[in-house]
Amino acid sequence: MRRVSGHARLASFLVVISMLFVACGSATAGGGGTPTSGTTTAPVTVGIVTDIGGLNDGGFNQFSHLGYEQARAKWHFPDVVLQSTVVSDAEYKAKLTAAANQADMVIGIGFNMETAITAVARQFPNKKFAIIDGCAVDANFNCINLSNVAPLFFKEEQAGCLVGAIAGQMEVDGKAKAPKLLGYNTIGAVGGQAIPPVIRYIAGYKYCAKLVDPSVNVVIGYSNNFTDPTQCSAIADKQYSINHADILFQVAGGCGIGVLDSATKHGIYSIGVDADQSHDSTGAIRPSVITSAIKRVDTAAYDIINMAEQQGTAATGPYTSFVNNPFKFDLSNNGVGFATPSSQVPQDAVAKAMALEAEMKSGKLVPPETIPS
Amino acid sequence: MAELLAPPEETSERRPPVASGLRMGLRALGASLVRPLVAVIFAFVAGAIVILITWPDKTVDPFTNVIHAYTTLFTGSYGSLYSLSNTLVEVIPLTLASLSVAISFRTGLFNIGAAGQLAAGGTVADMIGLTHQSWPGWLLVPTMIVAGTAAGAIIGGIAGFLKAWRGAHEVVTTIMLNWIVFWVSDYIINSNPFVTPFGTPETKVLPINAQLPSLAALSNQWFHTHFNTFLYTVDVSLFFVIVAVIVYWLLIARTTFGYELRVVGQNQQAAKYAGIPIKRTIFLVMIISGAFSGLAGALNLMGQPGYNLAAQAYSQLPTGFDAIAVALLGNTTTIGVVISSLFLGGLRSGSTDMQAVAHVDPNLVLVIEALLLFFITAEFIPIIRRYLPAWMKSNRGRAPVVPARPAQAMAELAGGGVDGAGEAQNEVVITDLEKEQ
Repeated sequence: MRRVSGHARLASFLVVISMLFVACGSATAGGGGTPTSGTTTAPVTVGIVTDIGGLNDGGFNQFSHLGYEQARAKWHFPDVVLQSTVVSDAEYKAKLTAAANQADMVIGIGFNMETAITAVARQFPNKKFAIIDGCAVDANFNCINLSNVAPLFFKEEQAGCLVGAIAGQMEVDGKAKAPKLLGYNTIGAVGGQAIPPVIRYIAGYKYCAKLVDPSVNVVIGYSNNFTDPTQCSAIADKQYSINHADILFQVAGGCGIGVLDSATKHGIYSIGVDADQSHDSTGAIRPSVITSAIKRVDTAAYDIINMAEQQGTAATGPYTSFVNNPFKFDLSNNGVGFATPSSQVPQDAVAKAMALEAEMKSGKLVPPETIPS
Repeated sequence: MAELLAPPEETSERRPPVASGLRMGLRALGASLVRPLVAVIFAFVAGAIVILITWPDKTVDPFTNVIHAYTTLFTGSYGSLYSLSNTLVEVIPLTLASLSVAISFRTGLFNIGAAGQLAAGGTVADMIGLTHQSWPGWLLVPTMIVAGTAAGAIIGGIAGFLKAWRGAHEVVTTIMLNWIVFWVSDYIINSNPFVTPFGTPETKVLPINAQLPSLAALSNQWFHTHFNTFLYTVDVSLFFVIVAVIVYWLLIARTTFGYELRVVGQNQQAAKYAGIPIKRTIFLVMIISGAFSGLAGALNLMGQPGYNLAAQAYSQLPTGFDAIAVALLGNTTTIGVVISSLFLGGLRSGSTDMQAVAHVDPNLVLVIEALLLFFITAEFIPIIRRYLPAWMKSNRGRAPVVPARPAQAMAELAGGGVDGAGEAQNEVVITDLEKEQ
């Protein structure tokens, strides 16, 4: 009868569901637990709060998380990872507060969080904080010194200089060694917004390109966007068609991928930013990318966690001294660099970059932080 | 629809024809609660299955992981004063936007533009606040609120006008208008004189005379409490929301206009025959709908710390689209909208604790929300009911109606949603024919 079979169907459905619960519930959890720490004192628990974009954004979030996981593998503290979903002070504050409740130290990723992390740090004076690419700020966005907030700044101009040197040298070499050049001795840069890290990248790029090739033209555009590739590819298209730029440096995060794609489409060269962008997320190669200006946010995250862990019970220790005298992550401490150049780059360009790298490490060469005219 | 055509069930159990008003009210309440409750249960079960399969926190076994996830979700939304404050912060704009969507649902329209209307309200309020920083607070605050509401109303009105007089489907127009508003808002945020001089893509902070005080600050001032104003950020917009809810209820249940719009939502032909001016009703409803969302945008800007707008934030804000889920979950009734927005707002703000303690991906809350919407609209109850044993079935009869199905779906004229005591049933009254436009 129909009703009986309906009964049976419902009953068997419920049985299957409960079997699923039981089976999953009794799965052995032993192998998955984090090992108890071998150190005698409990490690400082560190949490990170990412900006929007998720953990696999190919940029800051992903590499900061990478550094975090490396530190976690070394120090064995429980993981506390929170992802922001909206760009708003309220959201950042909520996530940072939740992280501060769970961890002894919280790392915030990105300059968007500066105001929020300053407020939260004041609220939790006995917890430590660190911001990647930012500092504690006052109402006018001037950096202030809070004793529990460590600013993690980078010398992006050094990375920009290295890739600028490569670009300049390629322009000097001409089509003989770099066949995709257009011959107008013009290179381009596309920035996300005119914020200090972006400006530093472009400043170093222009400065060192002109150092190597004094007559080079450098065209700069801003998309006012860090997420939408079409915005940046539109600017890249214009730099190619109107200015005849043939090496495009993207400084626009996710939007800048559009620059790389535009360069591929037009058969010219491009330079990635923050991480090695020569391959896309599926592993396929991006033909136009010759190198990338690298910002080792994973190194920064790892280093600051190490400092905090080594602090121990000392009143002043590596973390505190860093807070009072922050060094900037640059070439000398593996904070910035440039990605392995592709085979399209002639050897003398690479050699030029290495030479300038040595000069910067020794202090002989200091690229500016603002864009030279 | 099938229920109407099927022969009446269980004739031997037919109740006496006139039950007490309370009993009928309770029975109707139960009937209308079943659908949302079942949808919620199903969505949470599906979410539990997702957690079981993905097992994000490997320090405990998967089943405990599920328990952890849901307990932290609920304590994170309502478990402490701090959580409650954070939840209310989410609930305030969500409720207003949901009222906006609900009133349009009642009229048979889909207002997908709550997000854009909210953005318009916030942007216009910000523009006025930053331009007239010297005005005294008692002048500036009401002006900003009224202007924000009007901005949302205008955006809604555009879509309403196009729908009423040109037949353009409001789903398309409202979504398009959303993006127009987002981009114009971004442009305004990034331009002088509104953009902050510090290089970030945000507007300047509103002066103190344009800000709404937080409840904690007010309480500290009047009752000499010592609430931490940093932690407890819920502001006086809460009172605006309560007033708006009452206004919504009055409008829908107690005015002629409300009656007219309900009839238009149920059956446009009957409304036309009854002399209700359909075009004007649709236009006015979209204006009111936009006004609610515009108010939400203005209040959120003025009440929440930050007191400024960030470029691209509006296009990523989920409030406008959550409002659709809330309106559907709440069956577009006043009580339903309030409870559902408390529920969904709680889910959203509880996801922070769920991430922090149970290590569950924040997107799980989005999955649960999407499943909620799915189960609400997919009508599983009749199927389940068919397989229930006889004793569980009652002669409640038909499923409760969502009062504003789109005109394409055949109106179910029998059985009403519960909407405050004494709401008129859907009788069509033949009015003076000269009223018809």
